[in-house]
Amino acid sequence: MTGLVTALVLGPILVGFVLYALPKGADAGAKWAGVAVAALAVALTLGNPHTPDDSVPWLARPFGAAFHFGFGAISYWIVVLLQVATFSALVALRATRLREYTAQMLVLLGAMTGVFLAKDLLLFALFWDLMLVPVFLLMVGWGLPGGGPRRAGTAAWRYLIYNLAGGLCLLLATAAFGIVHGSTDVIGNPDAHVVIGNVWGAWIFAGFAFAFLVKTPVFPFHTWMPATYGELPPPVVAVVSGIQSKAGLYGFIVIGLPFFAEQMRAATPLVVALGIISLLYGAFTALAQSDAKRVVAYSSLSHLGLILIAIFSFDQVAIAGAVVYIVAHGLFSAALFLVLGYVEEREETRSLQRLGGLGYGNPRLAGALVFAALAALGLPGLAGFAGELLILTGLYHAGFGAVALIALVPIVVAAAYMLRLFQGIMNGPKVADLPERRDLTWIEGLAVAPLVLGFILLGIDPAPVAGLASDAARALTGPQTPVSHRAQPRRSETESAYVAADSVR
Amino acid sequence: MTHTPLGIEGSYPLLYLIWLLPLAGAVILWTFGPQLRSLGGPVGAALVGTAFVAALVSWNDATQISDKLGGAHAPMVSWLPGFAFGLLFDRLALVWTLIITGVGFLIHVYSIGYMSGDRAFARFFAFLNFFVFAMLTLVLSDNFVGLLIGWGLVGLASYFLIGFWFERPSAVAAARKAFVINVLGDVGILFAVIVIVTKVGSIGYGDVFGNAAQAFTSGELFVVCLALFVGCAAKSAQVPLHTWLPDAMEGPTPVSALIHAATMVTAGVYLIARCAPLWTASAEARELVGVIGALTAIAGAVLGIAQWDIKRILAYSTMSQIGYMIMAVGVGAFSAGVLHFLTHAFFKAELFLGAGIIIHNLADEQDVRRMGGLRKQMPFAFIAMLVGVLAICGIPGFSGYFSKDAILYGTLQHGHPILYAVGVITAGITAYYMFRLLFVTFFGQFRGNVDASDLGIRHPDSGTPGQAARLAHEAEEREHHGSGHAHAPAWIMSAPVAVLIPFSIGIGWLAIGGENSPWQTFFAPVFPAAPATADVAPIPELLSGVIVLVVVAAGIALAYLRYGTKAALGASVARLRAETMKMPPVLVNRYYFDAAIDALFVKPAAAAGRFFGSFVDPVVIDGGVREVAHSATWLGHLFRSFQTGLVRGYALYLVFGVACFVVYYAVIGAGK
Repeated sequence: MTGLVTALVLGPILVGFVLYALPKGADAGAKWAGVAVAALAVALTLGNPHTPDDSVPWLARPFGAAFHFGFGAISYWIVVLLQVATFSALVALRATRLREYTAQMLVLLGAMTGVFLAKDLLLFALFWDLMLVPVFLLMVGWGLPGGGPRRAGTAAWRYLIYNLAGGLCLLLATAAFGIVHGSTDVIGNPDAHVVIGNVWGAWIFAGFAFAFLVKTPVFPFHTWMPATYGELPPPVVAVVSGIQSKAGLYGFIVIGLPFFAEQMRAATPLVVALGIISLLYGAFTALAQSDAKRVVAYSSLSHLGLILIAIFSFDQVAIAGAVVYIVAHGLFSAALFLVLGYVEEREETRSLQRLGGLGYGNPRLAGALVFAALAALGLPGLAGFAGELLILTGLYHAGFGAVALIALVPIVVAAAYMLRLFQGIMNGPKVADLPERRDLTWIEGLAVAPLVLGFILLGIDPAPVAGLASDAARALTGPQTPVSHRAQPRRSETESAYVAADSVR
Repeated sequence: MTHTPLGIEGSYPLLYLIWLLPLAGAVILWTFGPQLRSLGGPVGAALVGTAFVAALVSWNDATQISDKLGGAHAPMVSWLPGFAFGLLFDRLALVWTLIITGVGFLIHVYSIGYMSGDRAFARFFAFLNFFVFAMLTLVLSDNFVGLLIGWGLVGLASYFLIGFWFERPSAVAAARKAFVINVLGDVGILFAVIVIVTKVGSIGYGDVFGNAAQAFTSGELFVVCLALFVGCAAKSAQVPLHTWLPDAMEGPTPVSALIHAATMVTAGVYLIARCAPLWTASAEARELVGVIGALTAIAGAVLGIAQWDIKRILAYSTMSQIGYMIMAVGVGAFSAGVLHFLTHAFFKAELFLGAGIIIHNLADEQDVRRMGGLRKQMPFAFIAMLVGVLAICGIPGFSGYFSKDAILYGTLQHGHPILYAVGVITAGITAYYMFRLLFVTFFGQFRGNVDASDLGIRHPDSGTPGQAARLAHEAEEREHHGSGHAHAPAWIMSAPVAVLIPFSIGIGWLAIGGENSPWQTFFAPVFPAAPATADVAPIPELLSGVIVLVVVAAGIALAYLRYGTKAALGASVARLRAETMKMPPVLVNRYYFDAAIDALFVKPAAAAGRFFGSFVDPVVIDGGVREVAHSATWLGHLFRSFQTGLVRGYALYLVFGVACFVVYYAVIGAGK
């Protein structure tokens, strides 16, 4: 179906604007329209996986650019994740000015779909900046200042300034890329033959890399993130932490690996070092946070550091694992933030020192939280584990054995901080002065269910995601020594995990 | 890599039934628990019982042998090439499956009585069923990743059940501790898996064992075995990762019987037995594991002397007995180790369930100092515990005698006289503290009405696991129903124990007949022949057995003299008080392991986290960024305009602008 991909990008944005234009008072209708758009987007994406690209020539000077959208092997499942998360965020949404809220969420959905489905670098960069705006507005309009004397809105500014700085670098790098290469219509194009010389290449790559590292974020660019995640309303942070934070990692995979392989290899020691620091720093910091949302924020720093390392290992299985982990992390962090939001709505606090004993009266809420926390701590059998296993295997295979060994430490720490989070809220004696509210409602259950179902299914069999990604990763990183390079004799190449994903099933 | 097949491939519908029935039970009971109410227990028990019957019916699938392959193999999904999953039901898996579902069924039935009246009755059975499913995943997997998944899930089930009474802070802390230490073990296995996949290219047992010799250097093989053993040590409570097991007694007693005695904690024994080809090939790994096992055996036994909580005495005895098993499989006496798993599963479950009857009848009293003279009050519990004690001490004729003897003689056969000596001494200590338990609990006068301080108990109201919770529950139940709830009949708790008694006595008889015993014949196709390093034992088996018996008799005699004589029983209050007061601090503090772990790992980790979160982030990084930002005046302008509300407008314009831009080019582009 031609036009479908473009519709997935522009449709939500247009509906968002229509909602904005509606008269006041249409709140409930607006929300359900938003839910319907998200659900429809999920259905259309899942129903048409082989949709051809939409491409229209756009600029000819100073460099070629096309209005080019399409599904990619890496982006497909991320977009599905994004649409599902948006559905989950909207379906149980309760807020003031619901109409405007929903409109912003739809603009966010469209803008982020644009980032992941853009096949043109310029388009990618434009949507990259566009997706900052709704988040900023949502934070200013509906933000929940976490405990402490900080003024509301400080975090929103920090978010905007950090990310605009990144976005500016991205835009400049894109322009330079276009001028040097002559065209920006290159993402996912195997015939692009991009060769960018050393002097230019280093600077252009630095521009991309800065934007990606800030977005992810990694140490030391991360301080906007706990503040933002703390202050954003939970349904928004579910989408931002779940998917927006993956835009940088996605960029490294689809832009970095094919076009800047040389520069990436040169930067590997530095980036891997930052990844390791993020991995450990995030994990230990999460252990000592008393704001529930900040625990998850720092855990994200830790998890995304691992994915970054995986991408820079240039290893096919590690990259397949990275994509599995990107989707897994999106699912469980969205679920975690949503459930923490329900807790905060009910108890009007998210301080682990205040909360406690909620498991008594809220068994369903406790069940939802424990599932999400278990996925986050990498429980074998859930999606996070599958991603970690593939990543660590790839790292070890690619000669990053010491890194793989270090990466085991945060797994143990994750068990400690995730249980501290869960038990701090749900277990222990009842806290007398906490209000008793109703348990998870069916509609909140409906919001969390697709995410939980997602990380269970992906944990049992990540092949649909891993297979596509492994295939793409092979194309991106070139031929590699198969995993079983030591054991002889090998019967055929197809036995190795480092060979075509066609043989996955 | 040459692909090495495993078992006889085919479709085995019953195998899936065995595996998935308990999962179905967990899902149903968890979802519909509140509706099922008191039906939850029988439903959970029936599903596990059906799985047990299905396993019995599938006996021939597991024992079939053709062309050197044994057992049933059912392939399932594949993640990526090399990551193929399936079920393997061979003789080793059969033994574990029968114990998990069989003993598991009995403990489910027992729990119907023990947990009756608990607020979350159905949820308890959901967790028990989930545990059975997880444990079956572990033992039925045909590959290392499936094993690791089962390994992690049993840890989770254990977490849920230790923390079942989650309003008690001590139970919550114990659950978390158990889980974190078990994740440490998971991580060890994870690392082994990573190395295995990289070197061999497959996670399947057949491929790994078939290619181990070419794929690994001896150093790598040792690393793999060591990493696997980290998992075993965490799960099976081996020194120094044992500290969670005594704390795990915070869980309801049936949980202690099923998970923390009969099944889960023996997973390490299973893993080493499963990986017998790797252990056989690595002498260093055998040496290390044998030593750790022996160390755990004696360390646990010594701590058993110093306990007053009936469940903690049994917990340390579990740790010690698993030390025996690990020592056995470590040195290469695989079938002896597995036999001890089998006998231990019966007699230890029986000991725990017997203790549970006492605890239940004494309104959750667990301190043996406040028991005494229970022989007349609870004759059935006495007989059950007596049989269990005789079995664990290795009295000839009882099951433990055969398996412990096989292990001790096995250490000699495989050339480890020092481990043998440690094992023999441990047997003596075991006899001493188990008879101490017996005398203090069942003989003399009942001391439940004696003032706690007269017995030397310092915190009489610190409570015993479950007590406060249950009292709270019962108070609440009374509020709801007006009067006390109806307790399940007493037989529902005694019947499972009665079934266990003959097995605790007789299951060891399988090993009668030495090399030609049914047990040895059963496992002959599974375990490789003894490694080449095996020496001829320096003394005959009979002499070895006599030495053990003499030491055990000495242990019993000592316990009798201290606790069992008329004089001792008459002055029991004063004597117990004196013993409590004089208990060496090193034993009271459990060799300071907990304090050391706390000081070396837990506290520094939290301190680092606080330092990062409250100094590095806000002061170092943000401070640096702010320095840069403050020098830029435009930032100040932005802030001012934000406060006037203008910026929100700008941002909106930006959205509009970008959108118009995009739409414009789309239309223009489409027009071309």
